[in-house]
Amino acid sequence: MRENSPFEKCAAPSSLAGSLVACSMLLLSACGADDSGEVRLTTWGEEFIEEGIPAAEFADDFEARFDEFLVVLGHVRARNQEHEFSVADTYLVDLTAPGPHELTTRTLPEGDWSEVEYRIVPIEAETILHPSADADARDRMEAGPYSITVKGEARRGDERYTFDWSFGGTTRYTNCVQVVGGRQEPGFRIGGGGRETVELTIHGDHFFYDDLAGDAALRFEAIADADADGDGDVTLDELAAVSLVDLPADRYGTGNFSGVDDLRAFVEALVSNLGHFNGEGHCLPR
Amino acid sequence: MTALAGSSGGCSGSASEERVRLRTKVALHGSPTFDNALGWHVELDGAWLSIGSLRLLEGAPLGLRAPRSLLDLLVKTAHAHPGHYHEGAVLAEMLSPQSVDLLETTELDVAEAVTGAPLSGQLVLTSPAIGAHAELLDEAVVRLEGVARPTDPDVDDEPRRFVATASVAELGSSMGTVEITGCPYDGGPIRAAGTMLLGVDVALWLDQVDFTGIAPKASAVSLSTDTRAHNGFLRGLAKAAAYRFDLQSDP
Repeated sequence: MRENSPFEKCAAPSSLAGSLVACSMLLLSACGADDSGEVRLTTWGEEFIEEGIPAAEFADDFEARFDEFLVVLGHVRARNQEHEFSVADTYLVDLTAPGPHELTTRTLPEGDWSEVEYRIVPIEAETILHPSADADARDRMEAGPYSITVKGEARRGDERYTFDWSFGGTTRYTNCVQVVGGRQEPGFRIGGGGRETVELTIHGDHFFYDDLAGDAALRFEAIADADADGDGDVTLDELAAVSLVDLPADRYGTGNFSGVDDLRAFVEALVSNLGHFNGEGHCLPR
Repeated sequence: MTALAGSSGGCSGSASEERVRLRTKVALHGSPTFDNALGWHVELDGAWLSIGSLRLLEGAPLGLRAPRSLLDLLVKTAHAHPGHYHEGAVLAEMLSPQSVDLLETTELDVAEAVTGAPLSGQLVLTSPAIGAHAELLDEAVVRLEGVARPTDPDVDDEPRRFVATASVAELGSSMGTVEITGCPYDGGPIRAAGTMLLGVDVALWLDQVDFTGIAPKASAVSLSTDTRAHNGFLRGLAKAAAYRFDLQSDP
């Protein structure tokens, strides 16, 4: 395990279209530039993950809180027409700890870094353990290996349900844009001598969306009803036993997703939409 | 960013974008006989759809997919996820309502378009239907007729002759139209005149329909509203993945 490791000054990018040699030359150019600024890389789960999601946010009067929200993220890449920059490392972070969480700070040539992507991945041997997570969390993530584990509770009046779900799989968040004054701006800009924060934002409330497309509301009722054994803990297996055909036709629509026919598959599909950029900014998940 | 100005008409595109016209065709995607996920072999005798409009949009469809090309990685894309969907600019639109028989290829009105790189399609279903099959569709936006048999030869069960219909109200709209956005687009950039194709995957409409509850009779039985089978049908109709848009260039 790497408790802490310096970021590579110039991680080798994988070529998009050109040759590796060409990309390496661009990279050297990037690292040798005089006019540069700093990019501070952080991640944050915002108030919904740290403090909980109030009933006012749910359409069915539930409220939810996370006791643990483990995510492995990294493999950040940014590029523009002249340069490419990458951070090869991944981090295991518990987003229920107060954030934003520092990941690293790097020096980059000034300019617009218009193409930005990052990944949420199953934990790797080289994944760096962030101070917000502990060794026990790492062991549990390695047992999968998992990319995300969420543990928490949802309540409505006297009703109380717990959940402890882990997910594997990689989601690549590409073409990230930030929202500035209501406008979408691709990537980020580094001014000469300036310092820019790039936040890999995770939206925990998206776990409870009731649609994979278009307008969606937060709901927990169908998840609560999936508790077949009535023990108050809703498992992924119990979610898998709920066919979407048994839910109201105007909820849990699957849009362009194929093969999402039960509630577990639905929640797993939502996992690919957790990742955001600089708060409310979006990325294109692949 | 370039866009047709939608229903308001006009064009706000940049000088680098050109107006083109696209022929528009609609047909069944796949075979009229198929097996569904719940153990039924379906043979369609008829499939009709009331189309209000078709569009090609800049916005990427919802759902994970691999990039199709280098261009796919480089073009500016809209960004979408539940609750935050951005369909992007309209790059092509066919606005003349028409009812179609999906078991044959139907040519619709011409679509006005501008050059650009669509990433998704949008279909609007409209009621009441207009055109050749309006009387058959009546207030419905879709009508299927066919027969379903168990795929397992060891299951001794009678075939089910069925009729499945859906109205805009059953599809959750009170406006007379139903909009299905974020449909997959398999074509390339619009560069010149060509043909916009819509392939409707009826097998996906019926993939989660369990015909067990349909009485085996000599005459066709309608899927009753508020049944599991009809719910499965409505869910299938709402799947954007069931509507595949494509583009063919003129030779």
